[in-house]
Amino acid sequence: MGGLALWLFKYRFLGLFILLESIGAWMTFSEVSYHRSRLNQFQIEIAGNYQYRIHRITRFMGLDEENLRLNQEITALKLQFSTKNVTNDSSEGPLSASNGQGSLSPSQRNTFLWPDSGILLDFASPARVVFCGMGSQQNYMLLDRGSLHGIQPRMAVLQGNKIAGQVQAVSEHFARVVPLIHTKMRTSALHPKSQTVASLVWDGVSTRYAELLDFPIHIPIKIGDSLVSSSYSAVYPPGLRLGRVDRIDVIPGAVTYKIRVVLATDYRQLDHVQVIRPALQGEREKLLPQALN
Amino acid sequence: MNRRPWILFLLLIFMQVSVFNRIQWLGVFNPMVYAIVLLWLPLSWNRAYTMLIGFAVGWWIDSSFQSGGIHAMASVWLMYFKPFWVKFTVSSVQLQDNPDPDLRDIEIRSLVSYAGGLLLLHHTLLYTLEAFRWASLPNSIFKGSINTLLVSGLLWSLIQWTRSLDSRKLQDNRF
Repeated sequence: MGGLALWLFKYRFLGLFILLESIGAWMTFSEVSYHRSRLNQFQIEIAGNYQYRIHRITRFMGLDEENLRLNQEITALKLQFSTKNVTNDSSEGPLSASNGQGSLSPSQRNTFLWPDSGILLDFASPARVVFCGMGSQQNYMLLDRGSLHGIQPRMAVLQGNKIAGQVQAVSEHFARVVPLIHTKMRTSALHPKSQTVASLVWDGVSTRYAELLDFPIHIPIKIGDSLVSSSYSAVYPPGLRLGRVDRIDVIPGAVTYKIRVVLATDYRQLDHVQVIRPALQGEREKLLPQALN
Repeated sequence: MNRRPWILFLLLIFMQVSVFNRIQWLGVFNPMVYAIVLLWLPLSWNRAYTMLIGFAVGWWIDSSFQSGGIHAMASVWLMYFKPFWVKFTVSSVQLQDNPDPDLRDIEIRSLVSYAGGLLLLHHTLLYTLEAFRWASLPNSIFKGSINTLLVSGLLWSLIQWTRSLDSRKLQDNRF
């Protein structure tokens, strides 16, 4: 107690100084509206900055759940939007809903349009990539959805409008996917400008690049041209992005270019995907010889 | 203590309220002459009393011009730092001879740094509190420096004038 009294006595002038300054500040802020408003602005600024920083940290920590929620919401919205389209659609064409409905079997009537590309689907589901191998020549990915969620082999795996791969096998809760970065994967690619179809294969070197084979040298192609999935594939609906032409090499004596393609899907950042199946896939595949499947 | 020009102090405070606070030439020249009074108060007085006097003088100016408590705050700062500052600026020999030197007794070099430093602190703090904006800090320092020069000039004139008055009184008493 005596120590406290001594301490207070020692700093009595400082205490009085702080007290008088506080009274002066109180008088200023209570009497002068300009200072009061400036103080309010300062408080708002400080509180806003603090809240913003807290929000940034919590947002970063909650990003995982947020992405999952967004992915589910996107898929649900697409389904909802496409259902409306099917109801209202009166356009003509081989895959349009109104035209197609009549020729579908009862089990296949539950089809819808995928909004971004106008593709008719009969299945779509969001999924998360739980593993994505990139270190070998024959990579694979694992999704957290399996047969219990309706996933089946030969369904297409997309990231938005970009092709990521196709389902190879499923268990109850997981699905194994063969990505484009698999040396035995050969995907039919369309060059939209010239309407030329070629084959996209991975050379096993970099996960960002693949090669476009069998593209004839008499057809004009430029660096930066986009490549999309062709209608030849029974797994991938046509028009989905595969990549862009990155380098064109002319090999002397050859009748085709050697073209390097930068893949649209970045497998290093692949997390949320959608699994889809084009409508009438089963019917179409029945007609093809087994070797082509 | 008795040598302080007390009537001049009262006059300066009233002059501040009635004349000097109305001077706002170019938005820069606004001298705070009442700071001279605070500066001239005896150092031998209890520090708590001098701070309370500083607060009271500042409050009087504030209440006259509805400026809240900015003059009171700046005055308390001046009074709190005065005993520290005098040790840095006035020679220890002079302080040993006279621990409570009158401004008229301090040699010119010490007076410039002692009075100039405290006046600059008071003015800069006052204009900073008045603007209450970080962006205005350079302007407050500039304004504080200009007005410190003005008030220092006035202080020097008052010192000379009171000296001459004192010497005249001394001569009258002799005769």
